[in-house]
Amino acid sequence: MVVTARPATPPATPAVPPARRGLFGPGSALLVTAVVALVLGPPMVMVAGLGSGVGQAVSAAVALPGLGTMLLNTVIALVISTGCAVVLGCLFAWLDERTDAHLGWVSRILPVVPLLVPPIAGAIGWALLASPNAGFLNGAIRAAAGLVGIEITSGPLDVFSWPGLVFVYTLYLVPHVYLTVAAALRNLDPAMEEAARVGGAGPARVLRTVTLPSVRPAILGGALLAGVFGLALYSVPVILGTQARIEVLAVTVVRLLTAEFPPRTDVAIVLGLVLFLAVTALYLAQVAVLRRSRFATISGRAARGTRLRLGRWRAPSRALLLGYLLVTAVLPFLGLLVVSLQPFWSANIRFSALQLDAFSEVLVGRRLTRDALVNSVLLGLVAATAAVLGAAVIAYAARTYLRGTLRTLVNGITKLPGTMSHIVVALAFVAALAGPPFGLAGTVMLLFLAYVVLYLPQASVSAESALAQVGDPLAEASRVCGAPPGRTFRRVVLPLMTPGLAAGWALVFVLVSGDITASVMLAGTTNPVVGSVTLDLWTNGTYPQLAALSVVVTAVSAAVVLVSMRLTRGGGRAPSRRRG
Amino acid sequence: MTARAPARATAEHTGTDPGEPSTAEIVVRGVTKTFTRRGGADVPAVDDLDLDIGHGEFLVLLGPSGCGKTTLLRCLAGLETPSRGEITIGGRAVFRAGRGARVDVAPEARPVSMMFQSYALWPHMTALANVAYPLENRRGGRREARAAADRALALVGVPELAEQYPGQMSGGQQQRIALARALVAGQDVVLFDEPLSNVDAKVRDQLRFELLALQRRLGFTAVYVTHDQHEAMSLATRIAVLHAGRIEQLGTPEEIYNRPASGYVARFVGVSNELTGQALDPTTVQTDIGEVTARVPTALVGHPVLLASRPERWRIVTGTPDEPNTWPATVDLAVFVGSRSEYMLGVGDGTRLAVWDSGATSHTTGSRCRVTIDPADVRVLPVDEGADEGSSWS
Repeated sequence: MVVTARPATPPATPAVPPARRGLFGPGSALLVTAVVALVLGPPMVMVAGLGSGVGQAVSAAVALPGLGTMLLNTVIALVISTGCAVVLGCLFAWLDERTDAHLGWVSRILPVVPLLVPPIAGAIGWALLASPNAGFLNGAIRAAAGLVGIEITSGPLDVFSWPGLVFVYTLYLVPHVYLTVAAALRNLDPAMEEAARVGGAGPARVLRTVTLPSVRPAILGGALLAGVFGLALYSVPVILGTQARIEVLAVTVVRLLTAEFPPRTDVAIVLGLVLFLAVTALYLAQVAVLRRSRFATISGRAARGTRLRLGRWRAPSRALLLGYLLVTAVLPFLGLLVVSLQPFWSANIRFSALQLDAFSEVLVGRRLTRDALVNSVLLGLVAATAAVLGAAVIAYAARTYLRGTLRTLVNGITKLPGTMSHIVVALAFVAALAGPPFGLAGTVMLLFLAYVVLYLPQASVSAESALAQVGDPLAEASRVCGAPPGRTFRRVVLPLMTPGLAAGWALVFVLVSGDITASVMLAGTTNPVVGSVTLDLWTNGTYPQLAALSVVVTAVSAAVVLVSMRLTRGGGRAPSRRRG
Repeated sequence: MTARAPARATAEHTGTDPGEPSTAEIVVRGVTKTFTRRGGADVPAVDDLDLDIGHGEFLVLLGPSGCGKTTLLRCLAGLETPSRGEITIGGRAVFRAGRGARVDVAPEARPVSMMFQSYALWPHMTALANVAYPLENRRGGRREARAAADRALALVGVPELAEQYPGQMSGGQQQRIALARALVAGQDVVLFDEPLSNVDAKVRDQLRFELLALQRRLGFTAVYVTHDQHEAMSLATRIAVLHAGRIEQLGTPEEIYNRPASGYVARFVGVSNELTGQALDPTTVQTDIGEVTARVPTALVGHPVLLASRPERWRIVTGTPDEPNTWPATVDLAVFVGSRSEYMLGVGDGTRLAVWDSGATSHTTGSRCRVTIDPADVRVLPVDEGADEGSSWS
């Protein structure tokens, strides 16, 4: 008995039914065009806008007072903090991947620390902890010194200084080095190190002669990645460097545009291009190094080796790992929390005066902060959804319709904003879209478009890896079963990409809602967001409200990141749960 | 229920004549697919290939990995776009490039279905939803689709799995679901990409016989890719042995096994003893072990040739019968493998022969014997590049 719906007699000439032309093809082509226009358009308009005034703008930039000092500051801050970050990042990666100091959750938390506590919150937190007079750590040290009869009136710590600036920079650069080096160590066959041990080398010698040389490309790649991030980092130097009179390139560009009247846009663009070229050079160097490293450190499947026993060094090593998390996340957050609960910021915590006034003011009473929070959360939701869904469609469409160079080009353009610094992208949006004919200045729309472009690379990377995990055969099977690309995407590809997309969505949400660099240039009183309002509050010295706002933002970020990490791991397990 | 031509009826159909219009179910003309290797060099995976596949035929594309068999199958499905050539399925051009208007019908619009090597079952859908999917796409009507899917699951013998997810099933069960999904829409052409390579031997044998029975019953045209010669021999009405993107030989399993067209085919299908030599006259070839009597094709007389012979065609004989093609030999290795005894014999100065005997192992390692073969069982072939590897022993 034939059960299929086959006709009793085959038609004489089996006709190929006309292909159903869905809207997916033209729709995705339109989307790609729009994205390319949004990514490439504003920078081109910005550069073209300089036009004949370019010579004048360059000479004005060269004539900026303190230009040389500023550039030198930038180089010094980056070189020293990247150096420190490389040492610490490698050490942490080695401890966590190769020794019994390993703590499972640390290796998951450490790379996302900058998401849990955004740099702006960390920088303000450290200002509250270690400013010379009212810093809590200074208060505690002075109190302890007083007990042994030493009177100190100010200090001893001062975060508004070169060491302070480099310290906080370093905290935020470490995860970038850690991430690349730990990944390389995970892929490095432990048998290579075991062979060296069997060959008579002690642990230190193995580390020096085998382990570190094997992952050298990853170390260099991580250092360059940290450099790219550090060069574009605005929040830390604006909070800590300004008071210490140490200005770096990122801060100068923003100041020219927002603090000068009339805004010196042309000079800012020239300096922005300098920043762009520096970031691009570092990024290209990193890509080149990592591409070479694929050939240098490939080992087949990584086998789990025995972890090196550290003996009496184990406890101090763990303390070091935990200490990093303490000074990067826990202490700054506690500093913010304490100030948010006090009527005013002082080194002496008065537990009798704990109050929630600042929170009620920020969340309810004060219109500016309330609007900023609502805007940031809504923008986070909408921009993350748009960026991730758009990236998913583009990734699938590129794989379905495009081949060769064109596919590489489209995928490359979605990553392009990552190679420009946020400052340059925001600058380009100011130059291209704020004024006529678009006139988007002061609108939420301007922020939305800028955020989508800024965080498209993150959305695109997670969409592409989610798509890669789905794999070609599942989509091909759907096509052969008669589903056109759009239907295949909706019924098969998108549902299977969901866990990966959810992680990408959480990442983009956190980055958008906590964004400061673009916000400070694009937001105003009519379209306030958390980033711009935070800096306003800092400048005005309303510390309890500032702290309360930072606490709220940090709590939201941390909650979204932790829930998504949980869900992603759960998502990976979902099929096996069904299997159970 | 379906009135179809008996499957074997088209087996004789060998028309791969590029000039003539063909009435075959699938017509492949001059199809070339090149891939660009890293560094820019173009490598043809399928090279100017012609093939006709008859209605209701079970054609197996056989070859080692990299011979182009999967690429050719994917070109038929529309999952790869050939560089040039023409593909007609069921009388309609589904691909044409190079001459006339370009045609490239999307996979979903071709009258084919396909079973994938990795099964490619969608993990977020139940077995029933997986199987109903092709019908929902092609005809709509969710209810009827589900009912037909239920019947298809019964057809492949797993009606009880309907509500299970692929992750809950064994490999063999997943394969049955994948087979049901490939058959449910009643397409005239079903493509199989090594569908049995991922399960253990027992399940594989069982599924192979069921697949064959279903194909005979439903009458669809099957194109089946495999690198397993045993699978190919037991399924095919015709086998196309592929080599470097071209068809090395096309024929029935018997033809392929008994009359291989080249050393490559002889080596790939079954175990082959190979001797190189010089064809002296139409019945004699001079080799390292002396003169071998065989039927030499006229064109090869006076040329270097390759002699291919099957291990089971050799016989170990005692005494000294005065037959042609008899040589003294030493037993280098004797292995009993259950259904037969396998010997590795040393003949002459360093030539080794694989000889299979259906009886028990009656000659021990190191003993001496005589070995013989009927001249009709020695195949005389042109020398090819694989000839120097000597005889294979599996």
